[in-house]
Amino acid sequence: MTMNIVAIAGIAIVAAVFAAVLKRRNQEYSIIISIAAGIVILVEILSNIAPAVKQINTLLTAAGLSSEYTVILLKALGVCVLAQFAADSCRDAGESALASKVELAGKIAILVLSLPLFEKIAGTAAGLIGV
Amino acid sequence: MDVDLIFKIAAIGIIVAVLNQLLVRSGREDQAMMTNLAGLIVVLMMIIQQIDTLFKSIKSIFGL
Repeated sequence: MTMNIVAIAGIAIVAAVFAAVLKRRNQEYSIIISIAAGIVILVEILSNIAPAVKQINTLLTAAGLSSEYTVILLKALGVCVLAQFAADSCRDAGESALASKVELAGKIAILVLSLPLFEKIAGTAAGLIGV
Repeated sequence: MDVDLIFKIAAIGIIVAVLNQLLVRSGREDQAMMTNLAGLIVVLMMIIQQIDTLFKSIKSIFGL
């Protein structure tokens, strides 16, 4: 199954034209149109990425990697997608302060997610040194 | 894929803009503002459902 890139490009262009048309008369609709187009494109991407995620999971399990690492990796990816989407929408609406707060929240969420990994690395290093 | 959503929102926006202009020209500013608000709420209700599906699919795919 190939990703429908033509449809995505068409959606983006049509939404951009509509947003530009509505920008003068009522600006809130242009923001909502850009968010809607973003959602449609993201849903399409996610429906394509779901089988890929499954395959990556099986590959990493076959490579002998513990499944908790894969879970953390995918969670970080999901946090990135969500935070980026929210921050971009806020920035489009002219709220760059809110956007940077959302980005900060995403960064901290990923840091908290990956803290157990740091702990494990530190433990491995200490074991190697022989402390 | 629901491209219709974008067309629907654009159509509502254009209709509300025309209605707004019409009502303002005929001297009914308060009704014009109400129309504007109603259109915005309708569009927001439409988009909130889509945001819900997006967040749900992200949650299920990435296991958040």
